[in-house]
Amino acid sequence: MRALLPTLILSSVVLSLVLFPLGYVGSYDTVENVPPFSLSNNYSNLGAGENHNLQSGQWQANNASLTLRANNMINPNDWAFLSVISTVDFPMVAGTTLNFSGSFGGLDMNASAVRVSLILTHSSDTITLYYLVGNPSIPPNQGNYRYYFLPIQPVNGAFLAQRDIMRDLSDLGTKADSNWEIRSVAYGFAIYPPSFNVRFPVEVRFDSDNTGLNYSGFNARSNYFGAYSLPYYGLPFLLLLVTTGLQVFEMTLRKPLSSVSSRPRLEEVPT
Amino acid sequence: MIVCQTRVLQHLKLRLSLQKQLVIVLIAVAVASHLPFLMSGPFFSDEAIYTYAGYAILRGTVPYAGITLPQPPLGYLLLAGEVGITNASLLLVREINFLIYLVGVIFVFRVLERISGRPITSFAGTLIFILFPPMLSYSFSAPLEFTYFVTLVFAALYFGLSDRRLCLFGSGIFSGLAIMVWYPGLLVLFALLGYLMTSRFVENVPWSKVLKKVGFVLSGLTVVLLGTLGVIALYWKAYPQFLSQSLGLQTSVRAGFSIAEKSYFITAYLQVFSPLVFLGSIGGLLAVLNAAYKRHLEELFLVFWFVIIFTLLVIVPKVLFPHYFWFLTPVLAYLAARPVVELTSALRRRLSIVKLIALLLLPVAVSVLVYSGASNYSTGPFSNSSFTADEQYVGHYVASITTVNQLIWTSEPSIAFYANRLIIPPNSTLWKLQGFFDDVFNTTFTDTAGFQHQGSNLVSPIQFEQSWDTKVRVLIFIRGSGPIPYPDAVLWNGTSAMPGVSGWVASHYSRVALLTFGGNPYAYEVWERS
Repeated sequence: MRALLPTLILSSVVLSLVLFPLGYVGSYDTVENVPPFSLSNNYSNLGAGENHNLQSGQWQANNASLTLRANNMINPNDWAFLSVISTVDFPMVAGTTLNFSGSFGGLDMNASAVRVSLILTHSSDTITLYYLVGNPSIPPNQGNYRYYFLPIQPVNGAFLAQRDIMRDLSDLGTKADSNWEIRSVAYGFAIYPPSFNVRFPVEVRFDSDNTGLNYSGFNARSNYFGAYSLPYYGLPFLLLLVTTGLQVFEMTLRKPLSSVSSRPRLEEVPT
Repeated sequence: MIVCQTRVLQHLKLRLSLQKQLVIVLIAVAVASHLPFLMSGPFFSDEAIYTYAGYAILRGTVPYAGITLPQPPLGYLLLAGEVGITNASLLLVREINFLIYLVGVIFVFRVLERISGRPITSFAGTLIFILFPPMLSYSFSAPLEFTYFVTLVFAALYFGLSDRRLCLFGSGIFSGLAIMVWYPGLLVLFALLGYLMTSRFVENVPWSKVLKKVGFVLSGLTVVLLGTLGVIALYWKAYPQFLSQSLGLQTSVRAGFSIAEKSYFITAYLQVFSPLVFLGSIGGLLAVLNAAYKRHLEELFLVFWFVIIFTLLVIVPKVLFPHYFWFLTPVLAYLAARPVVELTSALRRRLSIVKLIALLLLPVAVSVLVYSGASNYSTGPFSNSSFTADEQYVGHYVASITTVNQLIWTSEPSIAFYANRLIIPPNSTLWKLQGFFDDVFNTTFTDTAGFQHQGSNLVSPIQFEQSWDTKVRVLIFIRGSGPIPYPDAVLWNGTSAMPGVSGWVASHYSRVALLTFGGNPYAYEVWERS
């Protein structure tokens, strides 16, 4: 048995090395051709955003349109906002376009604006991009993040925009053009004080078909589920454990370690 | 007298047998503890660059002339062999690396035991070297700077400690092979030669004998160096590229580190290895005291070896990273084991193996607490790193839209490795970069420590456009920020003085896919030739 032990240990080492690679299995949970974000497909993901200083501020969305409406302002000398928001997970803005179109009624474009905003992150940095149809002033509720605005001209009570987000970021001089990730998109409007020229009720309508975030080409999202079939490691390991244990037991019991703790020297052997 | 000789022979036989038993136990422990982590570390950065280089060489790319190699060629050739044997299976490549590491473990133990004459301390030191947490993944995922290097360095030391001519010649051969894997092998050689020279004074060895020993070592070294340089110059015809890419890059082209930056990385190393450094300092002190009071000078070599090489590593290279010190771990582990074994001996005259193991596990447990970096980007034992799996997915997607002879471009060589496709290098005579970082352009970059440097100005984006112009089927641009400083953002956007490739790519290629993965900060954008 004593002579066999090293052979057994080495055999189980070889067995471990041979069997171990067979134990790996992996699979993907893949969603291919992920559709881009569009109001017509993702209107159910919208949630309430800002609703400040407005009477009966409400919104409704379906696969045809998103409509935001308010009947009056509570305090004409304060800012007023209404928006809806959806979290999105666009990892990259390169090639991503932001589209939106629609119409508005009651808003005075000199003292209010239709607002579409994106929150983008880059590592620990976060910024907000405001696309403003109407007055390009930024209301003071720009949040906790650094912000930029991009003005868009309305045409006869309607608006239409198709923006290359990376180009916008580049033009705005952000520190990195292509490493941003889009975390959320919000649609709404803002009224700036004093709001004497606003004719209530105010209504802003986005066309669902032309509103969203697009990316050209094939898009896939995957999650990998790596797994290991433990018997492929466990069985040789048990063998290794038992044989090595026996070996250590044999070494320590038959030959106390202290007796070999230093190199034997010829002068130590009695003559 | 006859009785005396018989007892000596019996003792030596038993000792030999015990050595073998200890080696077998060490191998068993290494296999049991390392295998579960075989695939848990990500396959990117240096490991992917080296392994892909092996793959490219296997497919006929001429080293240095066809692909930039920042190190001497031997490691890449070994990896080419591994890739060929395993049919480009990462798991099996890593397993072969691990087998080489096991050979290294044997040499480590034998060298420590031979120098110190303390089998148990050597055993304990090697055990710590095996079980110290960071080592659990370095053993197979850092082939050049750790696995091959440690094995060759300790093989060189093992033979270098002999008086036999053939062994000394073999030591020179292994020293040469170590240098031809990684240049710090030169520092190791200097330390070995220094030791041989100082033995003249310590052991009162005649100069003639010392010079003979040094001569045999240098003969073996010369054979390897001349042989390798001959292959590079005459067979590959790539001597100028070799000089520029490996020697030139390390000595002049690359931006050097300031003292502050070197200090940063030394601190990072000391932080990770703090349990061993702490115990090793005590062990080193004990070794020095032992030498001073008991005239047991053997262990002084280990202290000398560690201190000299550590110092040279800090002073000589232009840049310094924590992994430069990894190969010193066996000696540090021995010195760390010394106070543990001394304490155990003091506690009980007859050593208890249980107590010894318990004490050895103590620094390991402390290490686990101190070292949090071991699990960085790893997915734990018995799993495949999600980064590796994602790159595998992208590679397979790229393979599905290209044929095996069509060239692709990506800055992440693991994608090409998994796609079984070759990467087109930029249109440059000297710098055939395949797998590189953001430090190669003529613009500033910020390194992992947060220090800003001027780039090496090896290539410009237009050289990539020129190489992509006619031959390349698919380009993969990696977007986002993560652990690897990919060059894609700079290459895509350029700078005010250096136009990027975005416009050219948009007019010649079509975006066909954006591949994203849960938990992976990168998005892989695939462009296909229009």
